[in-house]
Amino acid sequence: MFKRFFALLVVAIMMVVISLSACTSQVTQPTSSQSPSPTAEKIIKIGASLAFTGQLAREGGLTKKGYDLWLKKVNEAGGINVGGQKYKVEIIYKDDQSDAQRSAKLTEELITQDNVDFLLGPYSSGISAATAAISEKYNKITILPLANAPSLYNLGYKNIFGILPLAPVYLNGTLDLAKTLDPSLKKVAIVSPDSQFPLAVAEGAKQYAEENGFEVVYYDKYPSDVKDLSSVISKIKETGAQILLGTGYLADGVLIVRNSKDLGFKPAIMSFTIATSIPDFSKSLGADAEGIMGGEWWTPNMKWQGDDLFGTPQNFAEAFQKEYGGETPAYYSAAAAVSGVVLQKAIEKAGTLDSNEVRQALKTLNAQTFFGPIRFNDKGVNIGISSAAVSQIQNGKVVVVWPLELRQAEPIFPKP
Amino acid sequence: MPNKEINMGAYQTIINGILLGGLYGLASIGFSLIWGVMNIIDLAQGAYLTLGAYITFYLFQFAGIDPFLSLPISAILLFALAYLIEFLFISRILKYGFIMVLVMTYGLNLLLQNGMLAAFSADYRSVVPSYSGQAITLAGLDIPAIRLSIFLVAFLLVALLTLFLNRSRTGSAIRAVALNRTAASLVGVKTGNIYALTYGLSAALVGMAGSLISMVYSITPFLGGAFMTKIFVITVLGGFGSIPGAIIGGLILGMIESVTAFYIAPGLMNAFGFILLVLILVFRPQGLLGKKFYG
Repeated sequence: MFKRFFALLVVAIMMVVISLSACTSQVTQPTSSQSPSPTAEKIIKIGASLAFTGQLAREGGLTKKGYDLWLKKVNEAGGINVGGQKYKVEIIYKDDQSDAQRSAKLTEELITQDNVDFLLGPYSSGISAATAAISEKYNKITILPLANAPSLYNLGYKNIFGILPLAPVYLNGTLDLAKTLDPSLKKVAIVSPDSQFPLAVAEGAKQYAEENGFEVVYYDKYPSDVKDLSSVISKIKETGAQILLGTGYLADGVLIVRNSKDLGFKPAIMSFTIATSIPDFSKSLGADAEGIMGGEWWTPNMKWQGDDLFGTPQNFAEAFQKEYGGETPAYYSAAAAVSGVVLQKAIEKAGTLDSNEVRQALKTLNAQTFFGPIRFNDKGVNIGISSAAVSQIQNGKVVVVWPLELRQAEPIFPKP
Repeated sequence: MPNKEINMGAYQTIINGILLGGLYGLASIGFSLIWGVMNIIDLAQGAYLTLGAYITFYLFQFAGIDPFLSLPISAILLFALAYLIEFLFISRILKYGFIMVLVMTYGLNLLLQNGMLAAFSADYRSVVPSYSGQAITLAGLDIPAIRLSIFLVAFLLVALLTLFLNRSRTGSAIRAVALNRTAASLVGVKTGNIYALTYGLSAALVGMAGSLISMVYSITPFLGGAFMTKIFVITVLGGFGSIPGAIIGGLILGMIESVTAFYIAPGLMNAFGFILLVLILVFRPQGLLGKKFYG
């Protein structure tokens, strides 16, 4: 009886684990690669290994849309001006199947067999870390649109340039905003699911809060499959926190808002990394989403003015919608397109395709783009924007409330 | 004064734990019942829970039916579905042993999950009735109205189930089959029918749990998967086949999670739950209230 019971239990637990892990693998999306145009004109070849299938297929697809839109626009405008000569641009895509090892191998192929001049990055910090080693080995520049783990930029690579500011600065904007709203806001609570990206954001927020005179009264992590946060919220309520920062994903934010309402916890500011940028959040919470803030790398209604092919976020959104059947662009595609813009600006500034010259041009670049100002520090991190912008849900709509130069509406404060 | 505050935190933690535990308990009863009566582990329970949540969501969203009033509807729909599934699939492979049934329910779970993914998409959905977020404040403690109602409904359902099993003819037949299938069929109980009935009943129970859960959590096709691990721990904790065991197991797990999150570290919530599971398996493998036989 015992043996049978244990065997049964072990098998059953294995089944549950397998079924849970099966949930995470998602549907695939077919790959397509550009065929080289057989014209005699001068061509700049750019390689991109991206996830078209596997777990990151959706993000990979969004990234490709951004690259493709830039490619189309730059070629329509005649190409890139290299020392007075117009070069057409061609992107060679490879499907890395969301796998870092494979991406590294494909990047090597792109460099050695397809003889690409430059690289545009894959999706995610993990995969970028693998391809960065290869681009370093062959001295090829990679622009990384969507990789912002700090560890990646601390490895001493000189050929990677990241478009997104680093993950830990995600929620700094909320704290900056809080200082301007009410100087008596001092007590900050930070909660994070126990998973890599949210923890990086939480650590960054904690450090920034302490440096800026806030008192971090609660800082802890919880299991990422959590179903109830009542006790965590009870504890936070007890600390008297005035600002609540959550660094989890969509479901975490929804859970925190509902548990807080249940327990009558009403901080003056509630801000999440991933909340306002996804429509599900306010749809799911209805009126309870009112006044909640969130970090935002880029939205189509930001007020940036650039001197690039797109000029403004609105123009980019229009071009994107025209190209992709009315789809509203997410920041993934915008970051991808601006990677092309940055590469173009650097090449034009250098006046040559030589990696060393272009690297130098990138290091001294100070560009105004539809994605905001872009400047790189020694490590290749974009420091043109100091933090993600802050948006707030007001009357069911998402509006940017910070920084001041992008503000669309006065913030609702305190949160209702 | 500080002493009083510490006490407040303690009381609030206990209340949080009890309310959470009631929900856990209700979600585990169906699983425990099937395990006790049919001696099978039903991995599709998570999917039934999710289905119950979706039924409530759609009734609330498009017909404006109050989530609590949708309970009988999701119970009937899930009973019918599960009765059919038992009749069509599970009854046919019962004779090949529990491993085969396990594989079957595992497959069913995947099928239902992906069916829901295709039908309802992976969007997050929530049921937010007008009274959501209201709390009863009692001596400085907040008792969320919805969670309290859910807890009371859970107990009502358990009481009804216990009455049904102990007082009705069908209930007696179910208990008889649990005790000894051969003997039960010798005295004229149609065991095949009882199995289908029990399976339907357990799905109806977990479906109602799902309906209630939809008011507290956001719904995705994978909602049930996350609950399955808890259901396991609770059933083993309380003793498989025991209805009071499932409730007590649920309360204990809810309390442990709540106390750990409040006093120790929220990151260790799961760890403490599983440590308890291991201890129970070592020292009392039949569970707290488990017997060798259910009945």
